[in-house]
Amino acid sequence: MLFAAMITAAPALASPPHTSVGSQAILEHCWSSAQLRGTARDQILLELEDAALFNRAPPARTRPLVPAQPLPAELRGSIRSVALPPGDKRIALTFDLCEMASDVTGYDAELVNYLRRHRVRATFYAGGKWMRSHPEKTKQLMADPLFELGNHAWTHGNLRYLATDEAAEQILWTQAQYELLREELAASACVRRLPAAELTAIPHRLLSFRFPFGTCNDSALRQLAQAGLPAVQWDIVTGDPTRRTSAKDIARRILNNARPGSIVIAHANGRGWSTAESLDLFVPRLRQAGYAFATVSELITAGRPHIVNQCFWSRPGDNDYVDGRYGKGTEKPWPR
Amino acid sequence: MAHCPPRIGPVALASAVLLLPPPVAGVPEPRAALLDYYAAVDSGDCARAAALRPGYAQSACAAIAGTRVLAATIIAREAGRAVLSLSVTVDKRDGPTQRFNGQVGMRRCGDQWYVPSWAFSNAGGSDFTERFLNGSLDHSTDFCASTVPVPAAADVVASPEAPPVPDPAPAAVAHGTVTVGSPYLLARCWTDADLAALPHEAELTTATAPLPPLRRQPAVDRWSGTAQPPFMNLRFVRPAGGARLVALTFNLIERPGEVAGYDTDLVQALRSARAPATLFASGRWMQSHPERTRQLMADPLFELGSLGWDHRNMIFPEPNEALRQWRLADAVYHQLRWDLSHRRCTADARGREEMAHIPALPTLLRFPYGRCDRSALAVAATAGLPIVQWSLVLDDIAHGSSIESMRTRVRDDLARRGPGLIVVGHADGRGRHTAAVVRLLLADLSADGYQPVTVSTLLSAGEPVAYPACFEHRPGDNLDYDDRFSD
Repeated sequence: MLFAAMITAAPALASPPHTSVGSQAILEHCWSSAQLRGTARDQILLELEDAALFNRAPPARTRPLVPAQPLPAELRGSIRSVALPPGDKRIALTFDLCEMASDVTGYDAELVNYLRRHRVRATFYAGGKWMRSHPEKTKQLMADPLFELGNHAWTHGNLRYLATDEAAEQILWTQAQYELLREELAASACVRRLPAAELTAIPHRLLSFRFPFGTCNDSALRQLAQAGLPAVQWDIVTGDPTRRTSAKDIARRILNNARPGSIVIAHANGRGWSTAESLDLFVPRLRQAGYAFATVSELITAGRPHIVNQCFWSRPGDNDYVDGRYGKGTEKPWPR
Repeated sequence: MAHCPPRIGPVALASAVLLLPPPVAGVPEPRAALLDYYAAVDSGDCARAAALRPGYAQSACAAIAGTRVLAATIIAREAGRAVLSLSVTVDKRDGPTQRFNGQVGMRRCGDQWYVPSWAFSNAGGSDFTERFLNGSLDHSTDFCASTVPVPAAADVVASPEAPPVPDPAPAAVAHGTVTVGSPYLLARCWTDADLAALPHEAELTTATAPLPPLRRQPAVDRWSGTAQPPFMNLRFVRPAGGARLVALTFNLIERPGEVAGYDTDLVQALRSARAPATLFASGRWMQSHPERTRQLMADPLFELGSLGWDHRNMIFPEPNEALRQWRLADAVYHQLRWDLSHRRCTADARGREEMAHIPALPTLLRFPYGRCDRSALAVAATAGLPIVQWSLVLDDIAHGSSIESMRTRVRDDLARRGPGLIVVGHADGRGRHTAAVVRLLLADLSADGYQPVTVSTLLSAGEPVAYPACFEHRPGDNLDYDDRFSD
């Protein structure tokens, strides 16, 4: 069967097609190259030690207005990688932009600049509160045709632990916050001077979801299916939020485990300590080995997702301790 | 004087002054003094740190490489004493980072708050608060006798986390300047690249699609009351003592069918000359320039007033249209400010504190086209804000205006009519040569001993002259706007 599929498959594509979203014209009209480059300051993490500073305000809109189709059966569950047609050697780099109620995280300008300079497609899973604290970065990422944005919950809630209504807030507030920023961009003079097609190319909603802590349960998976958001996990863990993970470690883990259709998890909120530095250690080598980079939606569209019914980091049960240590997950546990 | 109408006498609008926020008063603030102390330690200004913390050795301060206040909140306060909860990290030059989480007591002597060297409590709790406030922890009977005057802050070397804060103060005028905004936030939330011009940004172009208001309800509605006449429209001010003040105002208009511009060149000319100005914005302009509006809100050089939603002539609207116009502009301003207060750059204690310097809503009103009637004035007056016309037109939208003609006329008018005038120009891409004229004018004003101020500063500096009507130079001279812009 597999053999038959291989001989009848289309010849390998030299340059796989991709469904480009975003607008280079908007990116160039609304920000100068210096603004897009950002500064080293963007990366600094801010821990809020005083509970009075925690920002628990909901977004200005708490329910998304853009209608969503419930997920088809073949996309329900936890996606760990995608089986691609033979010859399609694309992988998806994903970077989480986590932000809890108890912190304000950063933006890894060096990492994004590398991706832009070397035309590396990638997907960013943004916390809803992260988008609110970083509105201009969010608008830049959503406009950039190189990138895709996904939902990483409002304040990094542990969806396995939260009550159903709290889990719904984590998902829907984030969808709504994206809409607010897209609307602000749409109303901006720099966009309104351009043909309407440029704006239309920017997705109206976040296209997929990444579970904070990689934890889920049936109820959370059902809610996402209802909200039309595929739950995207990974098959390659970089371990980049651990300080002792070096750039070489990250590159080695990716190079040793990359298969066509792989999904890599890393961070771009300043918590990926060596992530930016690691890019040049694996991006050129993957390209030499015939790999190309795609967004998560492009992978899902091109192939058949490998789906499981539970959520874990590398093997089932390996994140069970999260509920005891983090509880709801929306605040860093004491002692901080 | 030529601009005086023949029959309606000018009415001094004394109440307008009362409606303004009070000038920045010298009320001492214990929290500010505590942050001041840590800023002094952090920057190595140990003489100042020791003065703010009597009993503290400068050598101890010198052993510290840096400090970071994570939180400081007043938990109890009396006239001469206060207790704050404090969370701070201290990086020792030759040791690990230490963290203090607890309470600190502060004492006030005269107009200065001090941190007694011993008044730190790791344990904290109500016991410390109570005993510090009732004096039972005092080390001496007369703490204030041990204090010394606090020297001015030394120049601070910027760290990457605390961007350099430019000197915000335009040369102060004798009567006190009304300043809104926060130099700290301006420097912290935006880089120079963010403030700089973008290509095509100054252009006024035709809109291809309608732009409905994104926020329809103001979070704070100040338009539901009724105002008592007289309803007055400010034209100029007679500054006390003949102070040579002038208010430069620029409109940021966006009408239906337009994509208005933003004259970065003009704004940067004002910034580089440290020349305060007042900007009157349509709500629609704010919505199409969200980031520019937030920058203007935060910039202490500028004051923002409202022009209503989309620059409709306020004479002919259907019932409640005038209210809708003012409310929509309030709503978009309020939303943009709210967004700013939920950003990374405003998330810490200092950022939150600085947000208080940005007014919750526009502080002034102006009628589109400078047109109003009695009922439009009555509606606008319900918010209790100064309504501001102008007394000198820059004429930067007139086709025949040249840089020299505009410059000469303004200079002549100021010489003839004296201080206190309100000049109107445009910062939305409508003006021709506006930035070039303003650059020359600022030099002229300075040479003639004039100082540019915001409208609120001007109002606080003397006697307002206002009329219960809207006109350019004399009553009835702008009625043609009603034919041209009646929709």
